Amino acid sequence: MTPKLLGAGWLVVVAASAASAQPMTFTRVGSFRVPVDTVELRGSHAYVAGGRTLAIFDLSDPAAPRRVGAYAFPEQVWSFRLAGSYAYVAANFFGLGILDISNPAAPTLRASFKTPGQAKAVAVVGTRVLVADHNFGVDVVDVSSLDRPAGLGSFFVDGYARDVAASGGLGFAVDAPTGLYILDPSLPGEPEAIGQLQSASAPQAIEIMEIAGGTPRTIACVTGGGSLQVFDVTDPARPVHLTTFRTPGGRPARVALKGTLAYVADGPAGLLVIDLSAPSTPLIVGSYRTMAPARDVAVGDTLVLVAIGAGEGTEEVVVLAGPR
Amino acid sequence: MRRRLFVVAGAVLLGLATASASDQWPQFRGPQAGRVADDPSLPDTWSETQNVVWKTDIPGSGWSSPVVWDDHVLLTATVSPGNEPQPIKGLYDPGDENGRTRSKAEHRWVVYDVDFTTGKIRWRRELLGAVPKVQRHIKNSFASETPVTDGERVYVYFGSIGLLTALDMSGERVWMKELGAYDGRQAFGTAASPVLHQDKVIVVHDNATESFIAAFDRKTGGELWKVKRDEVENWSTPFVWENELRTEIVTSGLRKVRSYDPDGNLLWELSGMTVNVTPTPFASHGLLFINSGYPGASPRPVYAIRPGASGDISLRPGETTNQFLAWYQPLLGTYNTSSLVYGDLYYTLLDRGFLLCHDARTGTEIYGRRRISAEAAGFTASPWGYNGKIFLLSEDGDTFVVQAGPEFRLLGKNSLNEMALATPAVVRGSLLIRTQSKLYRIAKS
Repeated sequence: MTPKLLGAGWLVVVAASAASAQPMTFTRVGSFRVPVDTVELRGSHAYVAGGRTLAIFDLSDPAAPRRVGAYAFPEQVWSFRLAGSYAYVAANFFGLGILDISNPAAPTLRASFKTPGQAKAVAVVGTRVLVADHNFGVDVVDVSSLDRPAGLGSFFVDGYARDVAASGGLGFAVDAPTGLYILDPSLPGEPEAIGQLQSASAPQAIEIMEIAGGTPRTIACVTGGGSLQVFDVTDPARPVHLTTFRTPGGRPARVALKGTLAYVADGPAGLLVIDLSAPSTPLIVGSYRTMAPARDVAVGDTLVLVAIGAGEGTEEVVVLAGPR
Repeated sequence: MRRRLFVVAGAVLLGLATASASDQWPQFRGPQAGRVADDPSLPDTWSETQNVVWKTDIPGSGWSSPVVWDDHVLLTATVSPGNEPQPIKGLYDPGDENGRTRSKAEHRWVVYDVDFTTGKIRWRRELLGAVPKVQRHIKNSFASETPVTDGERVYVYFGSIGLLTALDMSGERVWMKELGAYDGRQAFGTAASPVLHQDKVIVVHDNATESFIAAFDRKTGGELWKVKRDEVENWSTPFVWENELRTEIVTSGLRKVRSYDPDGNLLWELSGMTVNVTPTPFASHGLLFINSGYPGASPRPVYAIRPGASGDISLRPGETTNQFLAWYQPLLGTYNTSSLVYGDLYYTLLDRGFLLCHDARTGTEIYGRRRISAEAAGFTASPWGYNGKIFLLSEDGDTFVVQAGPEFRLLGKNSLNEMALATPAVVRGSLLIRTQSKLYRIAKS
């Protein structure tokens, strides 16, 4: 999450498949050089944030990724999320930026909202956007009218707001040093947590996994503190810490979810695939060691994107094929 | 009858002492750690034009607070022709370098004496011109230590160049000591102000090379004692605690809170602080208050300490009090602001724009976190109080006025529309507020 890479970085493009009894392996099918801190994948397009720019790449031919469009913000882009035909961008002191990406060749700023602090991360819950606003907690912005986004207040988190995620109409936030919070943005009045825990370890990023089956469960996957931390948030009023899983690389940066698999950008260990179908007992089912630290990962139907790089001038490319 | 007379006499003496104290403002936070004797002539409202006796441009940059003695308003700055990065309000994440910045431009370290009556700069004394040897946080300055004065001399310490100097009240140098300039562990610069006790000027400089506390003779600058400290960086001003049993020099630090006697001998120590220790210790109601509260860390403790301690008084696991710790709050500490006891209440101003209130004697919560205003950005200046009101100066230059007492009530906002980090001085019916470029004297018209 920390955008240390302001110079050129690399994206590693790998093919993916569902979990199986055999360890998942990956094969490189292509790569492209680009400044990269965070990455998302939708269909045949990669969305790459690096420095102040969100760039879009066409991966129709994964062996030959092609940059098709970009938008430069006046401030650092810390992270972003895709929803509908928009990219919701956390752009530091600029605040929340909403890009219309319906034409990938020409992303345009459709709306913006200046938050009081530093926008570090966003999550979209219906017509409301949660913004992890660093020192100022979690802001709630009403985007039902993109012509006039409106601030609805902010929720105080104990430390520095780091990341937010959304699932099932709820918002989930983490802050450093220890907090996990669950918010219901639909509730009127000043935002308040409907549940929280102060037992996370230096959380940096959060994603939410819905596990179907006999008893559906909602699982929060939190990276930070050298581990993947798993919480059961099925009952949002009573989140429960299930386990803290030390990853081999010891520096899990971000996680992307697909089914019950967590794809973890695990710093020097590269890409890690962890099966969370039994969330209290995470199981490594695949990995790929990148040549430079992995900092973010995105998973699509047939492709996995891994953003790697150790800082300006030290980037490398590792391209794999798989999984097998 | 005799007893009653004694009480009355004591009250009169206390009143005289308070009145006398409010005649001068010789050090950071003044003689009573921000608490000012009630004075109906003190202003409640002001703006850039309303209730402004004068405002004076102060060349250079510096977040040191003004101190006042008679007609002298003394403050410090550095002046640089370089294109220095501008500070940004709030507790922002400055990115990979964590806000460290190194200047290659020559700076001049300057002391100003501003005439209390007219606002004119009476004299300006340049102490050194050099390229800074140490780095600083982008939000810090090279002149963040507040000077201290006894009316005969002003004692100025610039940690950024390791220079301790005494000037007489006409700006002439009496003596100068070079104490060494060192980066702290994070190279964020320095801020701990010097303090006075009897014949001594006392300086703490915690850094990554050679941390120390030292005492110097006021008249000559001769070193009286110097004690090494196992610390790597702190920004907290030491506090001279003249309690019912003895006088102590209390220093707050990441590894230990330490108390020394006036000869530099360690009296007691306390572990359990968090990183980036900045708030200044102070005393009230027979207790010493210590805190630290970097928002990204836990715990963020407040300790209320009784006099007479010795040895290690740290809490053991599971303890919240002991013989010398009257009360403890694990998550009440502030990052940059120092707290305020006004009346019987302990006010905590969180840097992020919240006010909390606790019983000063027991630590019992009176009210929890109250957002001061949706408009309130970061806070670095420490709060002060008079006339039943608490004053909270934000980094935007807005002073929020809150009713003192057990219920939070925002009474108003006074805007100067310029960044402000320095804690104001309050003296003789006037407020001296330093903003990024100006010094204001505020008083009722």
